[in-house]
Amino acid sequence: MKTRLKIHNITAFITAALVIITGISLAACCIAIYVSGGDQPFSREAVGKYLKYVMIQGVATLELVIFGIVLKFAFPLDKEKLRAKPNILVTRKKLTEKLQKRDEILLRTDEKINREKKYRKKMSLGLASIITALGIASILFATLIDYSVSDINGYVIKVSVFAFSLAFIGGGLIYAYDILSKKSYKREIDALKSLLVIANSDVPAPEMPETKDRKPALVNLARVSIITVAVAFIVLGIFNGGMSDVLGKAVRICTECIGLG
Amino acid sequence: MKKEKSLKPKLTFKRRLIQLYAALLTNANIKGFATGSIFLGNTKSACVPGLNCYSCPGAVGACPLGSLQNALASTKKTVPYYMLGIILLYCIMLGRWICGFLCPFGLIQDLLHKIKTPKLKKSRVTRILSYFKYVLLVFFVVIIPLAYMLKDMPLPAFCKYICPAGTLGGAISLLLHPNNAPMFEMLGPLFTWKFALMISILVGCVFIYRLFCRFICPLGALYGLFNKISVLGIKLEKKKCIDCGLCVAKCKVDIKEVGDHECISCGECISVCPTKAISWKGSKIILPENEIPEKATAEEKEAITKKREKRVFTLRIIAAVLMIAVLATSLVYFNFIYKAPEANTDIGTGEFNVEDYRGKVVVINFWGTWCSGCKKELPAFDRIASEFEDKNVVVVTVHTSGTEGWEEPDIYIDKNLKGSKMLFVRDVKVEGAAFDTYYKALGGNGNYPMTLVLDDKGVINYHTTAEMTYDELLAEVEAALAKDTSGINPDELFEGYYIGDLCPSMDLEFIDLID
Repeated sequence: MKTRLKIHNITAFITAALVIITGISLAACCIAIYVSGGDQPFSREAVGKYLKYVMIQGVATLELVIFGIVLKFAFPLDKEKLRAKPNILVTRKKLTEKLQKRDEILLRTDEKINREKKYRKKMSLGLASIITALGIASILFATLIDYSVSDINGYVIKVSVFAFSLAFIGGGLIYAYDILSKKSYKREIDALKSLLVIANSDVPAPEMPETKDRKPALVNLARVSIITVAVAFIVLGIFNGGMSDVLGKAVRICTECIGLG
Repeated sequence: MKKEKSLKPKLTFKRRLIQLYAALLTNANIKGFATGSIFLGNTKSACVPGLNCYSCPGAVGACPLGSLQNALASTKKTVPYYMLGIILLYCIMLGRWICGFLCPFGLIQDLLHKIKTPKLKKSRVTRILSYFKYVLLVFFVVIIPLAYMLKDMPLPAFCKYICPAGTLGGAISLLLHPNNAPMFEMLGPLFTWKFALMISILVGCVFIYRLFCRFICPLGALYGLFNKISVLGIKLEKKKCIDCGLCVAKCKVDIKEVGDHECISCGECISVCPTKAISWKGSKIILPENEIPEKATAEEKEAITKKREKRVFTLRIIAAVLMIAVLATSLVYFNFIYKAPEANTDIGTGEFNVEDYRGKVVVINFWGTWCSGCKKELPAFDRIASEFEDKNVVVVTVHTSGTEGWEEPDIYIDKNLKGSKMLFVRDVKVEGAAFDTYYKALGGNGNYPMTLVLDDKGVINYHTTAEMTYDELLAEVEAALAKDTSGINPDELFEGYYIGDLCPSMDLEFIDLID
């Protein structure tokens, strides 16, 4: 099982890397085609020249994806064994043992976890700061460098740098917050305790107070009102030409909408 | 204790089946991918519930988001009741159940996420990021189109700058077809940006579950506002809920509670709830005996359960038969039965005819007041018309037969092109046809603007569906003027819309300009 898990994980990482590389290559290819084309930026020859490299990467990625699918079915992982999630159907004894174990782990390693958290906090803050600084520097570079708008090549580079720098900043922030977010065992323990209440017939279920539920009637009234208004709007729209306006726009290729200018 | 069967595999399979069905139904014009052209029939006046660009060759309906932006940006300056009504109806009936079951782009994201890679789990950051789509909804879908409407420049901002469904379904599908090779001339910085953005989103979807739906889609944002009161979706019975948090932990999107504005009603939380507090809304409409009375005897409970199962089975069979019938009918109709009416130029009755201008270079420009690109390039044509007035060059602009709710051309011309040396005529449309007759006869396939330059024998020298700058137009006009046409006999040439063909002629009405 561990060997299978290793193979699955390695496949996953390699697929991930190839997917990212293919994606970046496609985007870079598009920019390169545009920049190198001269008078005819997206000529068939230019597209053919660059696309074949991307196609090779794409085929490799596809093969790895197919391999991953075959791996999943031919050598399935027993997820129950790998995951330590609470099973609703465990007996009371097992639930109690699990709870005790978690409490013990918490007590013994509390200090250790706190120390590690402080260290990781410093490391991740440092890393996030570097990534964010790089991103901000890229944006400043893109905006301060004197590219005139008529210089199309420069414009494309500027936009690409801006886009990638935004991605850097966003990625940096997400990374920083993800590392910093507290991994709490409290929710899992509360969930286990709730399950214990259900599984344990000696402990009565918590009493829910009886309340008169007026909500369904109000919700139904809101629904009926909104549906009536919607139908009235549609009928009104048909009579005042709204429907033919939609048809007129929809049967024409909106070159703006699909990025063709 | 009897082991309960896991609901998850069956539900996921059924959901995938419904997603595939919806994707196929909304893109039933498969012939469009083979011919490289979009569907032109009347079904496009209806909006599909999910995100599906109407420039996609397979699309048989209109995109609700694109139609809403165009309706808001219309210079008609009236409330777009039709679009508001349709979107309101989808919001209240289905809510974000559309995202989980009907949206084709959602299906693409689900399939991409299945690629075996490490995944980024949800966190507080992703929860905060999920509010970004509301910002996009307010600015790109509402404010910017409205602002540009005041300038008489239609701008569907979200579609133009962000929507990856348009790039993938529209641009890529059309560009891959050899018939659309001229479209390559139109690629530029906008396409580079949109293409890079589309790739980023698709790659991101591999690592982040439903990246576009959670952080970017304004349509999902709109539907999410009605999630709590929509007729269909997921509901949580508070009386049975013990706040164990398993549903929220299981859910891959950024919900705080089942059925809130982030919930896409995929139903995967139903199987993990220990107290069966989560269920589908609307089940009581079909199964009024859903609730088994507490005081019922074992025999009565069994009888009710059997009756319910029988009814569920019957309903499933009926639903399956209906769905298959609808899909089969759609596929047959859109691909084999429907035929767009032919363009017959003999129906024209006006006073303008391109044949009357033999001996001069003629520039024909097809435009519409609803087309921002067309309006942007008109000043260049006006300038050419002025500069070459005495040099055997005629510039004629052919407006679409209708205005699609936008400003009438005579009003626009009066405001922006008064005193122009260009000729202004109007095209004709046959009832039932998707395109104007002369536009179609000259090779139009939906792209506006379209420009042709004819030499002095009426032969097409240049033909493009890209916007033209003054310099480009000047180059083509000068090339046509410099061309030696002494050896050309128009009667021996084939009438068509390719370069080298004799340009077809049609009698068109002049537009009555305001004095």
